[in-house]
Amino acid sequence: MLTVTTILGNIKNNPDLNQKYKESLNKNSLETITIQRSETEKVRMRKVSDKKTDVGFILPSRTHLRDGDVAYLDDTKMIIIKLSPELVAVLNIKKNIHHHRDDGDGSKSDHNHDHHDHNHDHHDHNHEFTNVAIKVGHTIGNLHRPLKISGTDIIFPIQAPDEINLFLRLLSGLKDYVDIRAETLIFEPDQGFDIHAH
Amino acid sequence: MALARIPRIGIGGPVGSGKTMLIEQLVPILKKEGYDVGIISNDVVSREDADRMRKNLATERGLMPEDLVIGIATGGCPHTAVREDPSINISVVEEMEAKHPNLDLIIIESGGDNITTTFSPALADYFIYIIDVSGGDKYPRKRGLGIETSDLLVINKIDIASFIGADLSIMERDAKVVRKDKPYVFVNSKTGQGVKKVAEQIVKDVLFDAPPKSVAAN
Repeated sequence: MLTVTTILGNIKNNPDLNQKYKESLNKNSLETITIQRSETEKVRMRKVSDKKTDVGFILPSRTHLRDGDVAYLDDTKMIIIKLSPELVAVLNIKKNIHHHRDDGDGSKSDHNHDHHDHNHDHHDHNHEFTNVAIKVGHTIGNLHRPLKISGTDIIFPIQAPDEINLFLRLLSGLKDYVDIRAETLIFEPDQGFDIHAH
Repeated sequence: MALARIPRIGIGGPVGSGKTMLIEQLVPILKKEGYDVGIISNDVVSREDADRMRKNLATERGLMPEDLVIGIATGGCPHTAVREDPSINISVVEEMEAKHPNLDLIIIESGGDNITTTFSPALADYFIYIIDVSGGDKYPRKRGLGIETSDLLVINKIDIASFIGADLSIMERDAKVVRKDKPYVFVNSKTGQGVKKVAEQIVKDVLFDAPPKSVAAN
Protein backbone atom coordinates (compact mmCIF):
# COMPACT_ATOMS: atom_id res chain seq x y z
CA MET A 1 0.00 0.00 0.00
CA LEU A 2 1.23 3.47 -0.94
CA THR A 3 0.63 5.93 1.90
CA VAL A 4 -0.29 9.50 0.95
CA THR A 5 0.01 12.04 3.78
CA THR A 6 -0.15 15.28 1.85
CA ILE A 7 -1.63 16.70 -1.35
CA LEU A 8 1.06 18.16 -3.60
CA GLY A 9 -1.16 20.72 -5.33
CA ASN A 10 -3.74 20.86 -8.08
CA ILE A 11 -3.16 20.52 -11.81
CA LYS A 12 -5.74 23.23 -12.50
CA ASN A 13 -3.89 26.02 -10.71
CA ASN A 14 -0.27 24.86 -10.42
CA PRO A 15 1.56 25.31 -13.77
CA ASP A 16 4.41 22.92 -12.82
CA LEU A 17 1.99 20.17 -11.87
CA ASN A 18 -0.08 20.86 -14.96
CA GLN A 19 3.07 20.39 -17.05
CA LYS A 20 3.81 17.10 -15.24
CA TYR A 21 0.22 16.07 -15.81
CA LYS A 22 0.57 16.56 -19.57
CA GLU A 23 3.86 14.65 -19.56
CA SER A 24 2.31 11.82 -17.58
CA LEU A 25 -0.57 11.64 -20.02
CA ASN A 26 1.91 11.33 -22.90
CA LYS A 27 4.01 8.75 -21.10
CA ASN A 28 0.89 6.88 -20.08
CA SER A 29 2.05 7.08 -16.46
CA LEU A 30 -1.03 8.90 -15.20
CA GLU A 31 -3.27 7.17 -12.68
CA THR A 32 -6.55 8.44 -11.29
CA ILE A 33 -8.48 7.79 -8.11
CA THR A 34 -12.14 8.63 -8.49
CA ILE A 35 -13.99 9.72 -5.36
CA GLN A 36 -17.53 10.82 -4.57
CA ARG A 37 -18.22 14.32 -3.31
CA SER A 38 -19.12 12.79 0.06
CA GLU A 39 -15.51 11.63 0.29
CA THR A 40 -13.83 14.98 -0.40
CA GLU A 41 -13.52 15.78 3.30
CA LYS A 42 -12.19 12.38 4.31
CA VAL A 43 -8.74 12.44 5.81
CA ARG A 44 -8.37 8.69 6.15
CA MET A 45 -9.42 6.30 3.40
CA ARG A 46 -8.10 3.43 1.32
CA LYS A 47 -8.59 3.58 -2.43
CA VAL A 48 -7.40 1.75 -5.53
CA SER A 49 -6.35 3.74 -8.62
CA ASP A 50 -7.55 2.96 -12.14
CA LYS A 51 -4.24 1.13 -12.61
CA LYS A 52 -4.71 -0.88 -9.41
CA THR A 53 -2.30 1.00 -7.17
CA ASP A 54 -3.40 0.49 -3.56
CA VAL A 55 -3.37 3.88 -1.81
CA GLY A 56 -3.97 4.70 1.86
CA PHE A 57 -4.70 8.35 2.55
CA ILE A 58 -3.79 9.74 5.97
CA LEU A 59 -4.21 13.47 5.43
CA PRO A 60 -4.05 16.43 7.83
CA SER A 61 -7.38 17.30 9.51
CA ARG A 62 -9.62 19.61 7.48
CA THR A 63 -8.04 18.65 4.15
CA HIS A 64 -10.61 19.18 1.43
CA LEU A 65 -9.90 17.16 -1.71
CA ARG A 66 -10.64 18.75 -5.06
CA ASP A 67 -10.89 17.50 -8.61
CA GLY A 68 -7.35 17.59 -10.06
CA ASP A 69 -5.47 17.27 -6.76
CA VAL A 70 -2.13 15.49 -7.07
CA ALA A 71 -1.81 12.69 -4.53
CA TYR A 72 1.48 11.23 -5.69
CA LEU A 73 4.26 12.03 -8.12
CA ASP A 74 7.56 10.36 -8.94
CA ASP A 75 9.45 9.47 -12.11
CA THR A 76 7.28 6.47 -12.79
CA LYS A 77 3.80 7.72 -12.06
CA MET A 78 1.48 10.54 -11.17
CA ILE A 79 -1.72 9.89 -9.23
CA ILE A 80 -4.49 12.48 -9.35
CA ILE A 81 -7.88 12.74 -7.69
CA LYS A 82 -10.94 12.82 -9.88
CA LEU A 83 -14.32 13.82 -8.56
CA SER A 84 -17.18 11.69 -9.81
CA PRO A 85 -19.83 13.61 -11.78
CA GLU A 86 -23.22 13.71 -10.06
CA LEU A 87 -26.80 14.69 -10.74
CA VAL A 88 -27.51 18.38 -10.18
CA ALA A 89 -30.19 20.94 -10.84
CA VAL A 90 -29.09 23.93 -12.89
CA LEU A 91 -31.29 26.92 -12.28
CA ASN A 92 -31.11 30.09 -14.25
CA ILE A 93 -32.82 33.39 -13.58
CA LYS A 94 -33.91 34.70 -16.97
CA LYS A 95 -32.01 37.74 -18.16
CA ASN A 96 -35.08 39.47 -19.57
CA ILE A 97 -36.72 39.59 -16.19
CA HIS A 98 -37.54 43.26 -16.71
CA HIS A 99 -39.69 42.54 -19.78
CA HIS A 100 -41.68 39.92 -17.99
CA ARG A 101 -42.76 42.57 -15.59
CA ASP A 102 -43.67 45.00 -18.36
CA ASP A 103 -45.45 42.29 -20.31
CA GLY A 104 -47.92 41.93 -17.50
CA ASP A 105 -51.21 43.76 -17.35
CA GLY A 106 -49.59 46.48 -15.30
CA SER A 107 -51.97 45.98 -12.43
CA LYS A 108 -48.99 45.73 -10.06
CA SER A 109 -47.86 49.21 -11.05
CA ASP A 110 -48.99 51.66 -8.47
CA HIS A 111 -47.56 54.64 -10.25
CA ASN A 112 -47.38 55.98 -13.72
CA HIS A 113 -44.86 54.26 -16.00
CA ASP A 114 -44.61 57.19 -18.35
CA HIS A 115 -42.93 59.25 -15.72
CA HIS A 116 -40.18 56.76 -15.01
CA ASP A 117 -36.77 58.04 -15.85
CA HIS A 118 -34.12 55.56 -16.97
CA ASN A 119 -32.50 55.28 -13.53
CA HIS A 120 -35.79 54.54 -11.91
CA ASP A 121 -36.42 51.74 -14.40
CA HIS A 122 -32.98 50.34 -13.74
CA HIS A 123 -33.67 50.51 -10.05
CA ASP A 124 -36.94 48.61 -10.49
CA HIS A 125 -35.17 45.99 -12.57
CA ASN A 126 -32.52 45.43 -9.90
CA HIS A 127 -35.18 45.40 -7.26
CA GLU A 128 -37.15 42.74 -9.09
CA PHE A 129 -34.06 40.64 -9.84
CA THR A 130 -33.05 40.78 -6.19
CA ASN A 131 -36.56 39.82 -5.20
CA VAL A 132 -36.54 36.70 -7.43
CA ALA A 133 -32.96 35.78 -6.47
CA ILE A 134 -33.73 35.92 -2.75
CA LYS A 135 -36.83 33.78 -3.16
CA VAL A 136 -34.88 31.20 -5.18
CA GLY A 137 -32.07 31.20 -2.60
CA HIS A 138 -34.55 30.90 0.24
CA THR A 139 -36.20 27.86 -1.36
CA ILE A 140 -32.91 26.07 -2.06
CA GLY A 141 -31.61 26.95 1.41
CA ASN A 142 -34.75 25.60 3.03
CA LEU A 143 -33.83 22.22 1.55
CA HIS A 144 -30.29 22.46 2.91
CA ARG A 145 -28.52 22.12 -0.41
CA PRO A 146 -24.91 23.06 -0.99
CA LEU A 147 -24.58 25.62 -3.74
CA LYS A 148 -22.39 26.70 -6.61
CA ILE A 149 -22.87 29.84 -8.67
CA SER A 150 -21.30 29.60 -12.13
CA GLY A 151 -21.94 32.64 -14.30
CA THR A 152 -25.72 33.01 -14.19
CA ASP A 153 -26.25 29.34 -13.31
CA ILE A 154 -27.25 28.37 -9.80
CA ILE A 155 -26.22 24.75 -9.29
CA PHE A 156 -27.11 22.37 -6.49
CA PRO A 157 -27.18 18.57 -6.15
CA ILE A 158 -30.33 16.49 -6.40
CA GLN A 159 -30.72 12.78 -5.76
CA ALA A 160 -33.19 11.95 -8.51
CA PRO A 161 -34.36 13.69 -11.73
CA ASP A 162 -37.83 13.81 -10.17
CA GLU A 163 -36.63 16.50 -7.81
CA ILE A 164 -36.75 18.98 -10.69
CA ASN A 165 -40.54 18.72 -10.47
CA LEU A 166 -40.38 19.38 -6.74
CA PHE A 167 -38.45 22.58 -7.34
CA LEU A 168 -40.76 23.61 -10.21
CA ARG A 169 -43.62 23.31 -7.78
CA LEU A 170 -41.85 25.13 -4.98
CA LEU A 171 -40.90 27.92 -7.37
CA SER A 172 -44.20 27.90 -9.25
CA GLY A 173 -44.81 31.56 -8.40
CA LEU A 174 -41.59 32.40 -10.22
CA LYS A 175 -42.06 30.19 -13.27
CA ASP A 176 -41.83 33.13 -15.67
CA TYR A 177 -38.50 34.11 -14.22
CA VAL A 178 -36.53 30.89 -13.86
CA ASP A 179 -35.44 27.93 -15.97
CA ILE A 180 -34.43 24.72 -14.25
CA ARG A 181 -33.01 21.53 -15.68
CA ALA A 182 -31.20 18.39 -14.52
CA GLU A 183 -27.60 17.77 -15.53
CA THR A 184 -24.77 15.44 -14.58
CA LEU A 185 -21.51 17.20 -13.84
CA ILE A 186 -18.64 17.52 -11.37
CA PHE A 187 -20.07 19.55 -8.51
CA GLU A 188 -17.78 21.47 -6.20
CA PRO A 189 -19.71 23.82 -3.91
CA ASP A 190 -18.60 27.41 -3.42
CA GLN A 191 -16.67 27.95 -0.23
CA GLY A 192 -18.97 28.50 2.72
CA PHE A 193 -21.95 26.96 0.91
CA ASP A 194 -21.06 23.35 1.49
CA ILE A 195 -23.89 22.54 3.84
CA HIS A 196 -25.05 19.00 4.47
CA ALA A 197 -28.48 17.71 3.63
CA HIS A 198 -30.73 17.54 6.68
CA MET B 1 3.37 17.63 17.85
CA ALA B 2 -0.35 17.07 17.97
CA LEU B 3 -1.50 13.62 18.95
CA ALA B 4 -1.94 11.25 16.04
CA ARG B 5 -5.59 10.98 15.16
CA ILE B 6 -6.95 7.56 16.04
CA PRO B 7 -8.99 6.03 13.20
CA ARG B 8 -12.71 6.48 13.81
CA ILE B 9 -15.71 4.70 12.40
CA GLY B 10 -19.29 5.87 12.62
CA ILE B 11 -22.20 3.46 12.77
CA GLY B 12 -25.66 4.73 11.86
CA GLY B 13 -29.01 3.20 11.04
CA PRO B 14 -32.70 3.20 11.90
CA VAL B 15 -34.01 2.60 15.42
CA GLY B 16 -33.73 -1.08 16.30
CA SER B 17 -31.67 -2.04 13.25
CA GLY B 18 -28.94 -3.53 15.45
CA LYS B 19 -26.24 -0.87 15.77
CA THR B 20 -25.47 -1.64 19.40
CA MET B 21 -25.58 -5.38 18.92
CA LEU B 22 -23.26 -5.13 15.91
CA ILE B 23 -20.72 -3.30 18.09
CA GLU B 24 -21.12 -5.95 20.81
CA GLN B 25 -20.24 -8.61 18.23
CA LEU B 26 -17.52 -6.58 16.54
CA VAL B 27 -15.42 -5.56 19.53
CA PRO B 28 -14.60 -9.13 20.71
CA ILE B 29 -13.50 -10.08 17.17
CA LEU B 30 -11.23 -7.03 16.89
CA LYS B 31 -9.94 -7.57 20.44
CA LYS B 32 -9.06 -11.15 19.59
CA GLU B 33 -6.85 -9.82 16.80
CA GLY B 34 -5.22 -7.50 19.34
CA TYR B 35 -6.97 -4.25 18.41
CA ASP B 36 -7.96 -1.99 21.31
CA VAL B 37 -11.25 -0.18 20.73
CA GLY B 38 -13.07 2.70 22.42
CA ILE B 39 -16.82 3.26 22.06
CA ILE B 40 -18.89 6.43 22.07
CA SER B 41 -22.60 5.76 21.97
CA ASN B 42 -25.16 8.43 21.15
CA ASP B 43 -28.73 8.02 22.32
CA VAL B 44 -31.52 10.56 22.10
CA VAL B 45 -32.71 10.75 25.69
CA SER B 46 -30.96 7.96 27.58
CA ARG B 47 -27.59 6.31 27.91
CA GLU B 48 -29.06 2.84 27.87
CA ASP B 49 -27.01 1.51 24.95
CA ALA B 50 -23.72 2.73 26.45
CA ASP B 51 -24.62 1.25 29.84
CA ARG B 52 -25.46 -2.08 28.23
CA MET B 53 -22.23 -2.23 26.23
CA ARG B 54 -20.13 -1.16 29.22
CA LYS B 55 -21.67 -3.91 31.33
CA ASN B 56 -21.31 -6.54 28.61
CA LEU B 57 -17.93 -5.70 27.07
CA ALA B 58 -16.07 -4.06 29.98
CA THR B 59 -17.50 -5.16 33.32
CA GLU B 60 -18.47 -8.76 32.51
CA ARG B 61 -16.06 -9.75 29.74
CA GLY B 62 -13.11 -7.49 30.57
CA LEU B 63 -12.46 -6.68 26.90
CA MET B 64 -11.86 -3.02 27.62
CA PRO B 65 -11.66 -0.57 30.55
CA GLU B 66 -15.05 0.76 31.67
CA ASP B 67 -14.09 4.35 30.86
CA LEU B 68 -13.73 3.39 27.19
CA VAL B 69 -17.50 3.15 26.77
CA ILE B 70 -18.98 6.64 26.88
CA GLY B 71 -22.66 7.52 26.45
CA ILE B 72 -23.92 10.82 25.09
CA ALA B 73 -27.60 11.78 25.35
CA THR B 74 -27.97 14.10 22.36
CA GLY B 75 -31.61 15.19 22.54
CA GLY B 76 -33.30 16.30 19.31
CA CYS B 77 -32.59 14.66 15.96
CA PRO B 78 -29.69 12.22 16.39
CA HIS B 79 -28.07 13.05 13.03
CA THR B 80 -27.45 16.64 14.09
CA ALA B 81 -24.92 15.38 16.67
CA VAL B 82 -22.95 13.35 14.12
CA ARG B 83 -23.26 15.57 11.06
CA GLU B 84 -24.54 19.16 11.28
CA ASP B 85 -22.77 19.95 14.54
CA PRO B 86 -20.61 17.04 15.68
CA SER B 87 -18.66 19.20 18.16
CA ILE B 88 -19.91 17.33 21.25
CA ASN B 89 -18.82 14.00 19.76
CA ILE B 90 -15.51 15.42 18.54
CA SER B 91 -14.74 16.75 22.02
CA VAL B 92 -15.41 13.31 23.55
CA VAL B 93 -13.30 11.62 20.84
CA GLU B 94 -10.42 13.99 21.50
CA GLU B 95 -10.66 13.44 25.24
CA MET B 96 -10.53 9.69 24.62
CA GLU B 97 -7.54 10.12 22.28
CA ALA B 98 -5.69 12.16 24.90
CA LYS B 99 -6.39 9.67 27.71
CA HIS B 100 -5.83 6.51 25.63
CA PRO B 101 -3.37 7.36 22.84
CA ASN B 102 -2.69 3.67 22.20
CA LEU B 103 -6.20 2.84 21.07
CA ASP B 104 -6.36 1.38 17.57
CA LEU B 105 -9.92 2.42 16.80
CA ILE B 106 -12.80 4.51 18.11
CA ILE B 107 -16.36 3.49 17.24
CA ILE B 108 -19.04 6.18 17.32
CA GLU B 109 -22.62 4.94 17.36
CA SER B 110 -25.34 7.34 16.24
CA GLY B 111 -28.76 7.37 17.84
CA GLY B 112 -31.37 5.55 15.75
CA ASP B 113 -32.38 7.72 12.83
CA ASN B 114 -33.73 7.81 9.28
CA ILE B 115 -32.35 6.72 5.91
CA THR B 116 -30.59 10.01 5.23
CA THR B 117 -28.22 9.65 8.17
CA THR B 118 -24.57 10.26 7.36
CA PHE B 119 -21.56 11.12 9.50
CA SER B 120 -19.56 14.30 9.16
CA PRO B 121 -16.11 13.38 7.80
CA ALA B 122 -14.76 15.68 10.53
CA LEU B 123 -16.07 13.11 13.02
CA ALA B 124 -15.72 9.69 11.34
CA ASP B 125 -13.26 8.35 8.76
CA TYR B 126 -15.47 5.45 7.81
CA PHE B 127 -19.23 5.16 7.87
CA ILE B 128 -21.13 1.92 8.36
CA TYR B 129 -24.86 2.06 7.71
CA ILE B 130 -26.95 -0.78 9.08
CA ILE B 131 -30.48 -1.73 8.10
CA ASP B 132 -32.43 -4.88 8.84
CA VAL B 133 -34.59 -7.10 6.69
CA SER B 134 -37.79 -6.38 8.61
CA GLY B 135 -38.40 -3.20 6.63
CA GLY B 136 -38.88 -5.44 3.57
CA ASP B 137 -36.61 -6.36 0.69
CA LYS B 138 -37.41 -3.06 -1.09
CA TYR B 139 -35.19 -1.17 1.38
CA PRO B 140 -31.86 -0.97 -0.55
CA ARG B 141 -33.66 -0.18 -3.81
CA LYS B 142 -35.38 2.82 -2.26
CA ARG B 143 -31.97 4.35 -1.65
CA GLY B 144 -31.25 7.21 0.75
CA LEU B 145 -27.94 8.81 1.66
CA GLY B 146 -27.02 6.19 4.27
CA ILE B 147 -27.56 3.27 1.91
CA GLU B 148 -25.90 5.00 -1.02
CA THR B 149 -22.94 6.83 0.46
CA SER B 150 -21.88 4.66 3.41
CA ASP B 151 -18.52 2.95 3.11
CA LEU B 152 -20.06 -0.33 4.21
CA LEU B 153 -23.72 -1.35 4.15
CA VAL B 154 -24.67 -3.97 6.73
CA ILE B 155 -27.97 -5.82 6.32
CA ASN B 156 -28.93 -7.35 9.65
CA LYS B 157 -31.40 -9.95 10.97
CA ILE B 158 -31.13 -12.26 7.96
CA ASP B 159 -32.44 -15.04 10.21
CA ILE B 160 -35.95 -13.57 10.17
CA ALA B 161 -36.08 -12.83 6.40
CA SER B 162 -38.22 -15.89 5.66
CA PHE B 163 -40.74 -14.99 8.38
CA ILE B 164 -41.51 -11.59 6.94
CA GLY B 165 -41.26 -12.58 3.28
CA ALA B 166 -38.07 -10.64 2.51
CA ASP B 167 -36.02 -12.03 -0.37
CA LEU B 168 -32.31 -11.61 0.40
CA SER B 169 -31.36 -12.10 -3.25
CA ILE B 170 -33.44 -9.05 -4.17
CA MET B 171 -31.74 -7.03 -1.44
CA GLU B 172 -28.34 -8.18 -2.69
CA ARG B 173 -29.14 -7.39 -6.32
CA ASP B 174 -30.41 -3.89 -5.46
CA ALA B 175 -27.52 -3.17 -3.07
CA LYS B 176 -25.11 -3.93 -5.91
CA VAL B 177 -26.90 -1.56 -8.27
CA VAL B 178 -27.32 1.27 -5.79
CA ARG B 179 -23.83 1.02 -4.27
CA LYS B 180 -21.91 0.15 -7.44
CA ASP B 181 -18.59 -1.31 -6.26
CA LYS B 182 -18.94 -0.40 -2.58
CA PRO B 183 -19.19 -3.32 -0.17
CA TYR B 184 -22.20 -4.70 1.68
CA VAL B 185 -22.45 -7.55 4.20
CA PHE B 186 -25.36 -9.69 5.37
CA VAL B 187 -25.24 -10.41 9.10
CA ASN B 188 -27.15 -11.88 11.99
CA SER B 189 -25.97 -9.84 14.95
CA LYS B 190 -27.67 -12.21 17.37
CA THR B 191 -25.43 -15.12 16.47
CA GLY B 192 -22.53 -13.14 15.03
CA GLN B 193 -22.96 -14.64 11.58
CA GLY B 194 -21.26 -12.42 8.98
CA VAL B 195 -19.76 -10.02 11.54
CA LYS B 196 -16.26 -11.32 10.88
CA LYS B 197 -16.58 -9.90 7.36
CA VAL B 198 -17.43 -6.50 8.85
CA ALA B 199 -14.29 -6.73 11.02
CA GLU B 200 -12.21 -7.67 7.98
CA GLN B 201 -13.45 -4.64 6.04
CA ILE B 202 -12.55 -2.38 8.98
CA VAL B 203 -9.05 -3.86 9.34
CA LYS B 204 -8.45 -3.43 5.62
CA ASP B 205 -10.10 -0.08 4.84
CA VAL B 206 -9.72 1.80 8.13
CA LEU B 207 -6.68 0.27 9.81
CA PHE B 208 -4.90 -0.33 6.49
CA ASP B 209 -3.94 -3.84 7.63
CA ALA B 210 -1.57 -2.35 10.22
CA PRO B 211 -0.79 -4.53 13.26
CA PRO B 212 -2.36 -3.50 16.59
CA LYS B 213 -0.41 -0.73 18.35
CA SER B 214 0.17 -3.01 21.36
CA VAL B 215 1.85 -5.55 19.06
CA ALA B 216 3.80 -2.96 17.03
CA ALA B 217 5.22 -1.48 20.25
CA ASN B 218 6.86 -4.75 21.30
